[in-house]
Amino acid sequence: MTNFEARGESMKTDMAELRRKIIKVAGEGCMDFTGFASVDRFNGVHNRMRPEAHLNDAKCVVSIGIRYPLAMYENAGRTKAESYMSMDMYENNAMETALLQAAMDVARTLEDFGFNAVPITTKMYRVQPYKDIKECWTQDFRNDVAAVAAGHGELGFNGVVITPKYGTRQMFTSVVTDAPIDADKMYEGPALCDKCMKCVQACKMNAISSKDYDKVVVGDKNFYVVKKDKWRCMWSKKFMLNAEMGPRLHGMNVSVEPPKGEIAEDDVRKALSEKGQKGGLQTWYTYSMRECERECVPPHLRGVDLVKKYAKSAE
Amino acid sequence: MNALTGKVKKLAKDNRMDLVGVASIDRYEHAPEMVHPRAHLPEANSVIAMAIRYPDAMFVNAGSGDAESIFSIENYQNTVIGKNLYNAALRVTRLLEDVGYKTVPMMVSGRWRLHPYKSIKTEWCADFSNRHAAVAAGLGEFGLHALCITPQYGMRQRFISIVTEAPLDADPMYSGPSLCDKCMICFKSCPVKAIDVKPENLEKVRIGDRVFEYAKVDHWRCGWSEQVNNIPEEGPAMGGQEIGILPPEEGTITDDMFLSAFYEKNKLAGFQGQMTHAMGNCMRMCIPPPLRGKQKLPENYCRKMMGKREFLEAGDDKTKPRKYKIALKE
Repeated sequence: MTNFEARGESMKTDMAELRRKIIKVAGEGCMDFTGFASVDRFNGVHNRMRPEAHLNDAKCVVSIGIRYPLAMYENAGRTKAESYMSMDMYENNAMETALLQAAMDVARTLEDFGFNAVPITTKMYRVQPYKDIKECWTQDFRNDVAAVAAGHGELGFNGVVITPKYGTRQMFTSVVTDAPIDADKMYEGPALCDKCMKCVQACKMNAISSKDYDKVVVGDKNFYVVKKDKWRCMWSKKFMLNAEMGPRLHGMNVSVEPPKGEIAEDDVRKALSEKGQKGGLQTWYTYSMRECERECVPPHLRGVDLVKKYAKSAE
Repeated sequence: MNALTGKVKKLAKDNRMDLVGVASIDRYEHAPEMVHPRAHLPEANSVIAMAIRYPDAMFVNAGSGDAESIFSIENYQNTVIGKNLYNAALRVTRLLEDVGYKTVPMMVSGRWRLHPYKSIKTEWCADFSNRHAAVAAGLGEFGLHALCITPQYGMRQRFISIVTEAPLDADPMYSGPSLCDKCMICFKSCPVKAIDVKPENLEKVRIGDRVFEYAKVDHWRCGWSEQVNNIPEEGPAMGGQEIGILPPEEGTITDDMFLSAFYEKNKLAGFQGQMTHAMGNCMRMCIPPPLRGKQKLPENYCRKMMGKREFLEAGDDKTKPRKYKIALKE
């Protein structure tokens, strides 16, 4: 039941007008991507992560994305400053805030037009398997699948969304709604991943391998993505236990080797304690870069200066 | 002013920035290599410095009156003010990128290399200095406490910066009446003795054609209160935290000492110890000469309470921290 029906009101919604309004609101909120996906394109997703798992009568998912400041992303840790401080604070603070604020504004716009809308978050996980979810480190919704389903791009072999405009240099979130907004076409251009394996080579944690992969179905498309050892990935990305992936540049030199084979939660706990003891206060102020994403540049963007490529006139 | 500079300033102001200035890259001629704008962006030609003011009555009244509370200033400083700075910096960055200039936004103060790193000899060093950028962009000048004072708001603002390839029009550096008359209130107000004003220890810095001199600040001491709330008189007492730990009177503070004191304070102060806020008394009490009589002086609650310490340890060894309790109940 929509908000308007619940109130006993009726409203003939101009869906084209609603679509335009959402694109405008997201654009005002710094979003570089706004797209619409029909819920049937989530056919390859676990039931608990589907749009209908968040909103019974879901008909559409609005996928929005914001690009990283491009020079910041390229230069982080690579220039004389040898620093990831801006990357840390913009990714985890400024961009995250912009993304959630825009999702909130899109949801409010949909509500104002009489529809229900659930804004989805980012970076929250169920660390362990949950009920019928067998995997660990799962989110409650697949923002990556939503971005692909809304036509923004494709899933690369590294499991990350690659867009034709910015490659991997953006973040996404989504809004699930019962508004029956027409879906955008899915991406149909040249392949954005040529399996160059830079992602596999860049992962210092051996969390991904070129030999083991999963099939991810989105609508009528199949993507083959590396099977990721998520504990091994998080060992560096979230717990910053590999100094070489960023912490060393902030003066935190402590790396703790993960055990061979399967990593248990207790292994992480012990490793964090060891890092805390050896690394001191600096362990509070570090950042770990995901080089599997940064090293990934789609074929048509290799060697291209994106800032110059997309420059508009200053006038 | 060239059109792009005007657009940048308008966008910043439309996004709640109260002060915006531009520094040309040549003003950084004497900056240390690793915190130079070109260390972040080799093509850099300009630095944009922006600031947002604190709500003035919130700043002045925090901790005073019957509310005796610094809850608002904690949340506005650490959440809203920071988010506004990042929002404006992100939008200005996107504007400059959109017209083809590489641009790297800097962070609001909050991340540091705590120990010397390669050519960086100082401790608690950020990868870029927003206060130096503010001075270089003409927003104000340094006070004795090494912070940037502006003629509009004195100490009551926070800064952020953006490094860009765009050749923006630089603003002149501040050349008005002196904003610091070395009244020493910052030095006298600091409960952890972090500000060293001995003439032989003063730091000299050259920005553009001006030379500034300011106190050497022991950031381990400053962080002892500001970052981990070990000194209740600087704010945490207003939330009900009675336990304090003084840094050692002599010698240096080590990582272990800093962390041990933090955990010990949290243990003794209970849950309240984790829900407090400290606001630098040096910053609160400083009013520059041109603003005296115009800006209201906050109550020096910190100094008032310092006389109410009940020490829980003898303190014979001056190289060790010392626990104490504040008598909050009257």
